[in-house]
Amino acid sequence: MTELAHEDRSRNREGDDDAALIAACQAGSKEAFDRLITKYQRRVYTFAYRLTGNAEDAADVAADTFVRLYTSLGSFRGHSSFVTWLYRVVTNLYLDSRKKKRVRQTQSLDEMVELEESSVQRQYDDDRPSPHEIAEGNERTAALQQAIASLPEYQRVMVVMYHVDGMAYEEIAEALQLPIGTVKSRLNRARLALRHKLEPIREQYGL
Amino acid sequence: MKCDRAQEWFSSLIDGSIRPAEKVVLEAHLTTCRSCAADVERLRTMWHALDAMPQLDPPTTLRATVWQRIEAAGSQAAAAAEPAPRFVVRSPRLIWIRSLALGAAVVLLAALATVSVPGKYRTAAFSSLFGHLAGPQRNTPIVEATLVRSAEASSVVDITIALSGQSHDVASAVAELITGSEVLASQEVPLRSGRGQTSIAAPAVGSAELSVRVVWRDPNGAERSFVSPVRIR
Repeated sequence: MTELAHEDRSRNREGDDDAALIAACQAGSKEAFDRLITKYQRRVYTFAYRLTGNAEDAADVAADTFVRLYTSLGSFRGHSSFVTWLYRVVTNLYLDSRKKKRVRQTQSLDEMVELEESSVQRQYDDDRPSPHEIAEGNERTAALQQAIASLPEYQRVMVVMYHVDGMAYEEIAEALQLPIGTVKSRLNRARLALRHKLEPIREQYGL
Repeated sequence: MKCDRAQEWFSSLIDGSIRPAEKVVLEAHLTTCRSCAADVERLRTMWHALDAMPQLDPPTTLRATVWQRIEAAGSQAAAAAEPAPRFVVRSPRLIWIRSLALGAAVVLLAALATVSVPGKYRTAAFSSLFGHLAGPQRNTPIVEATLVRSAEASSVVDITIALSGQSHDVASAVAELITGSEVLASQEVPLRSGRGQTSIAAPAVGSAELSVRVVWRDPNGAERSFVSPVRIR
C-alpha cells in the first residue's frame, strides 16, 4: 500500500515571500497591489470557481476578494500567513454570496437543512456544464466538479482547499480558524461523502 | 474493529499521518474486511483525481474589474475616509521638472496678482495657490530608492527622502534595506527641511526582492514608516 507523502504540499510556500509586496501595498503603492492581483488571480479564481461551480459567480467572488483585500490590507499584521488570510477572505465572501443568493431565491426550509454538516440531501444543485470543463473536454473533471458542488458548503471549502489548491491541514485550520483535528475529521467525512456520490459513475470515469 | 470506526482512519492512512498503533489495527481490519479494503482503494483513486484537477485561467477582465470596483468604492467613501498614506516613487528628473514647473507657476501667479488682481482678491489668489501646495502632497512622503550597479559589479542603493506635513521638521530618519521581513542594512539619514539622501551597499540579490523602509518619529513622538520597492536605474 503506497502512502501519499504526508504534508508534502509546497504550492503555498510562495506566500511566505510576499512580505515586501504587502508592505508596499500597505504604504499605498497601487503598482504593488496590481502585482499582487496578477500573482494571485489564478489561484483565487480557481478556488472561487471550484466552490461556486460557475464562471460568472467565480469572477464576481474573485473580484470582490481583491477589493476586500485592498480595503483591509492595512489591518493585516502578518500573524497568519498571507495566503491563509487570503483564503479566509475568499471563503467568507463565497459564504456571504451563498447566503444572499438563498435569501433572493427564498428557498424552503428543507433546502436550508443542507447547510448541516451531516446532511447531503441536495444533490448536484450547481450542475450546469461549465465552460472550463467543456473547453477542457474533461468529463471526469466535470463529474468531480459536480460532486464537489453537491457537498455542504464547509465540506466543499475544505475539499477544494486541500485537494485543488494543495493547502496543508495546518493552513486550512488557520484559514478557517478551526482546530486541526476538526479539519482532519471533517475532511475525512467529506471525502467519504464525495466517494459515495461518485459511486454510480465510478467505473464510467475511472474514479 | 467495526467498519464505522475503521472509516474514520481512512484519510490518515492515505495521507500518512496515521499513528503507528492505529495503522496496525486498521491494516489488520483491512485484511479481513474486503468491503473496507475496496473502499480505501477507491478513496485513494478519487484522492489522486481530485489532486489532479487543473488550475483555471481567470477572465482577462478580472484585474480591470477589481480596479473599477475599488475606484467605485473609493469615490463613495472618499469623504469619510482618512487620507491614506501614499508612497510616491518618482525619478529625480521628474521631481526636478515638477519643481521647475511649480516655480514657474508661482512666479506667474505672483506677477498676475501684482499686476491685475484687484486688492481684495489678492489674498484669495495666493491662499488658493498655497492652499494647493499645502494640500494632499504635503502629507505625502517621497522616498526614492534606486539600485545602481557600478563598473566593478558592486551595487549600492541610492535613497532620497522627502518628508512633509508634520514630519517636515524631523531632524533624522533611519533608512533600512529590507528583503521580506529581514533587515539587511540600516543607516541614519540626517534631514534638513524633511529632506535627505544616503547610499547603502546592496547585497547580491535581485532588486525585485529589495525594499527600503524609512522610519522616523513625528513631532508627537509616534513612530512612522514608509516602504518603497527598490528600482533599477
